[in-house]
Amino acid sequence: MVRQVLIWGGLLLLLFLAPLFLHGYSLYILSLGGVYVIATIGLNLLTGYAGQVSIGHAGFLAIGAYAAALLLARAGLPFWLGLPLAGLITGLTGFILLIPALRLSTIYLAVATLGFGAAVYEILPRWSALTGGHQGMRLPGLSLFGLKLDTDMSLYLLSLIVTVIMILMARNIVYSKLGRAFIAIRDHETAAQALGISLPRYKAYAFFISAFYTGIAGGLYAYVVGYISPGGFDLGKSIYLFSMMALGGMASIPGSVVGALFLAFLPFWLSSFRGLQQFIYGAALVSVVVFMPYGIWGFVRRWTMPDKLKRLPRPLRAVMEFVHR
Amino acid sequence: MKEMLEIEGLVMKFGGLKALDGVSFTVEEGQIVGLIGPNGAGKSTVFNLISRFYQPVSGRIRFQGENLLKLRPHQVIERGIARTFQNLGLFPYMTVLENLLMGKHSRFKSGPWSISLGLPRARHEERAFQAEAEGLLNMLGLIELKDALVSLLPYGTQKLIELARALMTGPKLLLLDEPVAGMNTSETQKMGGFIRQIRDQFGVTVLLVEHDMSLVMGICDWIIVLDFGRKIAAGTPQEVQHNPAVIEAYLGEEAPLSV
Repeated sequence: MVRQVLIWGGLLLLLFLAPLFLHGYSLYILSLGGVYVIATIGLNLLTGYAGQVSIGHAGFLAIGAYAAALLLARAGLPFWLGLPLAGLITGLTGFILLIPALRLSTIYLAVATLGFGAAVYEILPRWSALTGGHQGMRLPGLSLFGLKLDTDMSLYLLSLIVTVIMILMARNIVYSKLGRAFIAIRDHETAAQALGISLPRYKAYAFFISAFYTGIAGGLYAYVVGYISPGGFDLGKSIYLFSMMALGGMASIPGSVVGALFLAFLPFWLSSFRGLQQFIYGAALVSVVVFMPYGIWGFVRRWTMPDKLKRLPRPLRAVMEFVHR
Repeated sequence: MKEMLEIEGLVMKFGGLKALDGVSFTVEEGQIVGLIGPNGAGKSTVFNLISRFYQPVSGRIRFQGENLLKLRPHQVIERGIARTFQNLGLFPYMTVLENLLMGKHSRFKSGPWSISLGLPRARHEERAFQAEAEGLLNMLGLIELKDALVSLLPYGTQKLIELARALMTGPKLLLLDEPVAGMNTSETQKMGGFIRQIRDQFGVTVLLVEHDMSLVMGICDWIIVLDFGRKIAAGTPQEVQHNPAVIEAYLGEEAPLSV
């Protein structure tokens, strides 16, 4: 316990001091990393923990981003009010997916979520009165009590703080009756019901919480980048989030952090290998799948703490259970 | 003796197959009642009807005077009816302790907000239930296993943990679906002793489905025999063992001697 607090506390301190030795673009990438960490945790709570597959989460990311942008630009709300509100709005749209989720599961539910993501992607450019169409929207700068947050450093610190809060909340959720109920409906629906879990109710919680997380991530994305357009929220982005979850470790919060940062930074690290980027990127993904069957975090855990395997991430082959069970 | 569970004229069909054909029986408070019969007799169907996973064609199920048929599956536990499953209903990716805490699910009072925000109320409740689970594990001599992944444990131990989880719910009536299936003789004896202890110490009424006759005859106060969806006999172990209809159902009709 003491060791854990030291490790995580030290890491956190290092991250808060990062602006002292990182600048410009790398700080920006790290800020974006926070966005993906939050979104991946959101997806992991739904897919990794509750077993409800989604490959349409870019839709929630988009709703969160546009909601936060509109609340800031049109409604003039300060960001510290606009961001949680954008999360809540996105959380409510999560109930749209609850309707198919009460009837479908596995790959069939995945197709429905795919449709949701595609629908949001198609609606955005067409509802141009609200979204600015294909041109997208530029966000006004953020300010906190008259203080302008327009430097890479201030945006990075904002991203870091929000990310830490969201990680702590996720920890509370997964080690509670709520997290256990998610795992229960994933692994044994009948036993879960016999123990008093109402499937519609807990699926509703899972979709709301997941969409809320992804909405917060979307809002943060809009703030950090300062500009949003429909192009950033296509099917590719949904797959990207799914890969972050699966590679980091399914049903694992540290796994979500590691997976999101790994994939966010990979292109950045590979930028010096001109022409070989795509090849190395693909090879890296395949290596993780082949050599780390419990994801990157599972791999780390098995080497560093082999005696404490109780909350090991789920094996990647569990993805196959989404296809047929 | 007070009647705890009353089942009256239960009929259940799967397509054209009549799984239950007008079954009636009662379970009295404080008894251990065995539900036996050959494969396909309809024993598990009775359990799934009480657990509300199936809706009967006709008939009534009353628990402490309340009509159970108006409940949804997840509401049954709140009335005080817990069950175990024939092929284990444990959650394989949870630890032993977490599985036991699942038994307390419907007793938690803190909502999603206080849980997410980690409010003291939610933390306190979680710790209190954890302590209770640890106490039960202590009693079973399984406390060293509390942080073990449940799926890595021997089958007999898993069966015991599933029963402990059912106990965590604070049940009045316990439905055990083949509690000793796949167990060896010594494990069976241990489980039998434990079931008795549950009744004697916690005052829990038990209805169990089981094929192992040594267990059924050893611990049951009353036995109900089903065959092809009908009740063919009911009585004490002594009476049932010597009932010709029961012997016929289990061993088949006596073949006429040919000269």
